[in-house]
Amino acid sequence: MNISIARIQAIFMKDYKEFSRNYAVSVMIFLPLILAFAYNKMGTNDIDAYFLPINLVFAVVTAYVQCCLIAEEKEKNTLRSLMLSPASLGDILIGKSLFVFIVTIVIVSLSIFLVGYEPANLFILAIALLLSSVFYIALGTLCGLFAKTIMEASIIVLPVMFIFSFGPFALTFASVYPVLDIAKWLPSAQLILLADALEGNYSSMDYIVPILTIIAWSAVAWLATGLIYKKRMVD
Amino acid sequence: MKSSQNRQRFGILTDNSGLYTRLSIEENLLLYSNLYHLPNTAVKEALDFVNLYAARKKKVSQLSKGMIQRVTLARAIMHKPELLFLDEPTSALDPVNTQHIYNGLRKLNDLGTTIFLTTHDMSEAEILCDRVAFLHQGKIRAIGSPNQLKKEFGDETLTVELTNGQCETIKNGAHDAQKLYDWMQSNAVARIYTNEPTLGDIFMQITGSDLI
Repeated sequence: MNISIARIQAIFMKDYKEFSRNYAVSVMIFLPLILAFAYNKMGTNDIDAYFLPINLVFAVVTAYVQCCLIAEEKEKNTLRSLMLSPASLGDILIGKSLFVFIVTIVIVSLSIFLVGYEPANLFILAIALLLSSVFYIALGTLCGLFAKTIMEASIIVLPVMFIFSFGPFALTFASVYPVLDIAKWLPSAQLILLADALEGNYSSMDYIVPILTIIAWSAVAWLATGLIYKKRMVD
Repeated sequence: MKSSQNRQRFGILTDNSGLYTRLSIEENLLLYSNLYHLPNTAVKEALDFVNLYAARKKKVSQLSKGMIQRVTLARAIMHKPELLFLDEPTSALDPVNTQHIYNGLRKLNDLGTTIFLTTHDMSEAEILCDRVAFLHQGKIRAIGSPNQLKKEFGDETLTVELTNGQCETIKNGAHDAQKLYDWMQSNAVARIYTNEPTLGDIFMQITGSDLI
């Protein structure tokens, strides 16, 4: 695949300018920050509560914003213009994802700080968070590619946001409904399991399994995104 | 269009502008100049081409339909493509800007760009095109230079407007030559013109229907 740093940078800068002037979407970044601040003030100090604003960042910032950015490109026919330019599939997908990736890192970091979470092993958790960002960006891109308008994107992304953000809560009912135990394989649930394990005496499998699970989700999501994008390139 | 190099070789102007409405004209063109790896001067050249340099800081959301059309055209030509596809390039433009665009397109054509123009405006086709093809129901019904087509579909008659207000139609040839000579001898000719069909007339003749 032909990748050009200059083209990626051009798409990144364009997305930054568009996002900073699109208040309807950019305001969403404050939602997890407000929640993180409120949780801190409520004196929350368990992993599940810490990860509520963090998983919310992935849902309403990473997936939602990415979905809206892609859907808007489709709605206004700008994605078509980008596809007709010399920018390759890699240039467009990386360029469009880079901005949301950076925003996610900043907002996740701020949320961790605001909620007062001090991870026992920041390095391993950071790897898992970065990989989760990659997954949610793919998820947002995929939803955006299916949507024809921003309005449609906002609706398509809702169940996705709900399943992946609040999916871990389903585990609470797993003892009554064993089928819900499947929710533990969601990337958001794996993230919580990993963070939980890092707080105690953990073995290497305790972090390798969640990380591999998140990688697997990311690989499948990006593969699907690449295939759908290529389909959308043909009229 | 698979490869990035191939996409570099053509430009396209469609009815969908595909411009970023929150960005200014200049920011939109700057994005594409970076995607095409062009020098920054390319933006100014493109803006001059469409006569929009003075308005370069305006946001696309604030532009009129005609201005959007010109920005889209600027984007299509800024990398000096070998092949340029234009769909109604001067729709919604005033006569001054239309003329400006015509001059620019002729210059671009002189520099070696092949222009593929789709239009319903037959006078535009006549002014700009070296070859015209009439498409009807997905098939090419006639193709040739505007002059060639007019000759082919014309009836070779002349209309003579006489000083008494009368209009006479004569055929090119010896038979009517005497009539014309007599009118001229008696100083009775006010105007003479050929009755060649317009491209619109030819289209209707070929298809039996009006231009949509």
